[in-house]
Amino acid sequence: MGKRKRLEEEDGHKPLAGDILPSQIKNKQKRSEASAKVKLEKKKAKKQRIESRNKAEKQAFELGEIPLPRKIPRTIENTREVDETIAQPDDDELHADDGADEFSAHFRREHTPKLLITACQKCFSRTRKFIRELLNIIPNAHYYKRGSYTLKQIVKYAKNREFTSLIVVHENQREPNDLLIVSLPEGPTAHFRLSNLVLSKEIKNHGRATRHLPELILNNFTTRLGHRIGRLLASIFPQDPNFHGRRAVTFHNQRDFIFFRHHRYIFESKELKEQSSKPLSKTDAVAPKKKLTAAKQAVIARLQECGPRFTLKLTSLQNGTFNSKYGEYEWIHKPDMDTSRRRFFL
Amino acid sequence: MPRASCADFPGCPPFRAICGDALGFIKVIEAQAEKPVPQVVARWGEPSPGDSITCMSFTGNSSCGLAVARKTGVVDVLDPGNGVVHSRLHTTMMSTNSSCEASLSDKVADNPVVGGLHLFKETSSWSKAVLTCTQTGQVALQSVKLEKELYQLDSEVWEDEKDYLRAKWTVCKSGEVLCSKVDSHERYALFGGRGVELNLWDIENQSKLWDAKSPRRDNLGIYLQTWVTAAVFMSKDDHRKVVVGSGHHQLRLYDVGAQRRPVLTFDFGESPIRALAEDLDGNTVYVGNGSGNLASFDMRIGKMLGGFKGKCAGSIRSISRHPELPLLASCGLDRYLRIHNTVSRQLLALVFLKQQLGSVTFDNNDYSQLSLSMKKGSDQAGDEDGFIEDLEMQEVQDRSKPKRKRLTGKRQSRHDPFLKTSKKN
Repeated sequence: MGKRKRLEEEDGHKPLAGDILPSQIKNKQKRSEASAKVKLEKKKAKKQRIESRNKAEKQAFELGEIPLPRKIPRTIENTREVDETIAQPDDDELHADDGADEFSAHFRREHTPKLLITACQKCFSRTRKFIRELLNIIPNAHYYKRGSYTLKQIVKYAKNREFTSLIVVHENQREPNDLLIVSLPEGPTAHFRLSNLVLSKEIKNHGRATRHLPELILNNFTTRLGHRIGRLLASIFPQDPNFHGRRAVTFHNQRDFIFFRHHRYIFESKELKEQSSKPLSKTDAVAPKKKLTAAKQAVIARLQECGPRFTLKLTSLQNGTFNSKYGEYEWIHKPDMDTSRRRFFL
Repeated sequence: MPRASCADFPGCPPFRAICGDALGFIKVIEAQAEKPVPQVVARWGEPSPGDSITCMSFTGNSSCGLAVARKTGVVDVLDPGNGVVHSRLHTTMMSTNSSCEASLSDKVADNPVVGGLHLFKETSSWSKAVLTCTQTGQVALQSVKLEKELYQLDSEVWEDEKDYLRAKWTVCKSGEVLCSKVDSHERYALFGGRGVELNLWDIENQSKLWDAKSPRRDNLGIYLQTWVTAAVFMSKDDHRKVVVGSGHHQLRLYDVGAQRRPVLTFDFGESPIRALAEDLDGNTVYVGNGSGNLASFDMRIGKMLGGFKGKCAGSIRSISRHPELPLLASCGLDRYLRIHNTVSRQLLALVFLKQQLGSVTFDNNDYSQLSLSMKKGSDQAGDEDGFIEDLEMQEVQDRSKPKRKRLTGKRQSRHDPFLKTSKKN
């Protein structure tokens, strides 16, 4: 059902046959006037709807009844196509596989991650800046010049020096656009498309990250493939965060795009203004003074972004280390998979 | 409105398939006449990364009709009906008993990964025997011992092992054997691998009958290292036509009677070929590669008949053709088992099996029939036959289409390597 049709049914207002829609008017000035009018009406109706809903809720609350449940807006995420591969927490096979895969040693804390970062053969300043910021974010990361070595040679070198992962940043037209993460020594290799890069200097009011080990937040990696990608990303960072440092690194997956953010947070006790405590005292008229004193000591969390920001999109996951010609893929994106906007893989 | 793109699958005729995965599980997938959506009905084994299944071999109706090779070099012989392990063979033991060079046996002990496995039919002269080939090229023919006390690793059992070893030979001195196949009459065996050219052996005498010559250098003078990843015999009656898939995404047709170089060579896709399966008609092969493409080829002219579509996201490790129905099962690293119709190439069903899958076989024994007949009598059987007839009808109709007809024209006789070779013979 279309939105307009739905709204019409709810309001009980239906356009008559003779009514002219604003889009049918040919004079631009009149058309814009008419459409502004329609828009205003819609806005008013919406405001009214929300007010009446709030009123009803308040009334129900005062009467001690349970208010009507609010409608949940339909989004692309919650109308996602049914996926049988979603990892269930009570699945014994999933736990058995987690205990046996390439990252299990990392999660058992048998070794600390050691990272080699390199770029394509001829990289420009923006890529170098991006790598510099990656080196700040990821503990125990080392930059090596790419030189004229092939990736297979670098993988071999990194294996011998006991690196646990390898990150390669590729660029196109002086802008970083590809990220390759190779888990060593056995693989897998994930190939991401990198977009929307904002370096920390370009972020307003950005903070500077400390050298503490960060906390890692992985959001919405729900399917079996997503679970594996989440474990791959987690294996780059050490397992024991310094909570003292209050530094968080987030990989947030939404509609198969992985958003990277880097923040500092702080808990502050802040005096709240009296105005904010007024509505509380109105509803709860028994002890307004006590409430005021309690509200003064409220603890709030504050967030400051450190940067950079970027978005990743998975293009392939390869079994084993990098081998573009003779490798086997665990998952590769093919154009015929994009059958619907509501089908997601991570 | 949400667009429902995941169309309902048309469903399958009743079948039973067995899948082996990377965690050592063996899963049985069944579709029944009243429930056309296939489901996992049984799971055998305990999860252990060392028990990862590398090869699988299935013979017809028998209490020990399924052999499974694990990563540790152990071969289990199971009952395909209920998953009871009847016997456990060790390829490592074979090497310790061996009287051949110590260096080789040490190698085998270090790396006893089984590259090829074949379980002989009970009717064959080697009744109840298993042919194993390790990646280092040690081939052994062992009898299956039926023991009540399983998993026993006493010293006595080790002593006894000698009696069960019927024959043993070495296929190659260097390289890595990746595939082996035994023909339908169980007289000849094929071996090939990385650095190992295809070679054909007589199992009776353990003698090499034929081996392939490495291909010529290309126009740039580049020599590609031999890399046989999959091999099958083309037809059941003839052991001389062999199709080979290579790591350099080439498909080759060898004619053992004609020459040592391939009769026909062509490319498929751009990633290494991982799995091959032959059709019942003796002309068609099904090919799967490392980036998840599945296609069928007519090997008389080397022409692609068509690709199989349907959510193939990862490397295809194993393909299996149903011995009676026009069904094709494929599985691989994307953790799905896919069932296609071989004629219309339509995806019939898709089962998510949670682990990376290594091998799949169809089981045409009638366990379901037995259980059904016990439950409901013979009504169900009639239904099933009807379904099969429908499918056959479809097959006949599809064959009559002009697209297929083209293959049976004059051009065929001109290009047919079989006809040529038969003239020579």
